[in-house]
Amino acid sequence: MEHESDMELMRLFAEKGEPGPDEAFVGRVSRRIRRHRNAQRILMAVIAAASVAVLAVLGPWLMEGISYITLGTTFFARTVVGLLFSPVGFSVGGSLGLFLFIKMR
Amino acid sequence: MGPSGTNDCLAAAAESALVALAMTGDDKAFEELVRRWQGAVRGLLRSVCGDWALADDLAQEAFLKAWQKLRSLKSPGAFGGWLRRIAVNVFLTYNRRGRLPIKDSEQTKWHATSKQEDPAARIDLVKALTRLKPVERLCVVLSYSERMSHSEICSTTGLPLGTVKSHISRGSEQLRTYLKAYKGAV
Repeated sequence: MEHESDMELMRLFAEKGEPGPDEAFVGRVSRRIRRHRNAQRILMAVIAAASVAVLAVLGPWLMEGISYITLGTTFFARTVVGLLFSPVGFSVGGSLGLFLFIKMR
Repeated sequence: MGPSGTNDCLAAAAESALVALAMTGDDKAFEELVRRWQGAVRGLLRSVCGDWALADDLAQEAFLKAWQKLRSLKSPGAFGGWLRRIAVNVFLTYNRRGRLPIKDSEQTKWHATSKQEDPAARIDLVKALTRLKPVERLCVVLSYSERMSHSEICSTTGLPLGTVKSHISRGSEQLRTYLKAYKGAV
């Protein structure tokens, strides 16, 4: 009985069919897609223009900051290298190496 | 080849070829896909919405979403099922906002390529469907109209299997009751 009424429902749904071809609907979807694509393009252009403007305003400070960081890093590296190649650096490095060598044996 | 020649080519093209073309950004190919699938998507959404204007709006939304996500489609052959899933998700999102009415629909025409023999029964089914709860209606339509299995309905709707089974059982039972009452009244 259940099975029969299931078949009856399936028959009714099958007979219901589906909406026929509708070019107006296709046109509406195409227009929405075009509008969406145009909006995306405008958004991309606005983002690009904003990025350029931000870069133009912050550019000098940014360059200054980068040059300070570079100078600082160079100074630090030079100091470390200078320490490593001094007698103190040699003795500390040698002791550390010897300690590790003994530990590993 | 002119524009009408291109359109003829597209109309004759296999679906997977159209999907592959649309994935590369070909709008004409996507338009042809909309032309081929609009009946199925609008039919499904009309059944589950009960409001045709709303169903057509949601169908447009579904096609727009499909166009946006087309590059995430793994296999061009799976386009139909994937599109149906998008349409169901669009409906569920709309339903979550709580704006979907449960009513005795006044819309009784069905502009269709239908092979319907008994128009009264068709009207009756459309009316009866609108009296079910939206998610129940969705499960019943997916099961009886789209002929999906319970597990397919689970993966399409994201509902647990037990919920899907109870929605289909309760919904179809109610549908039978409404249909019986309608036939008794006629």
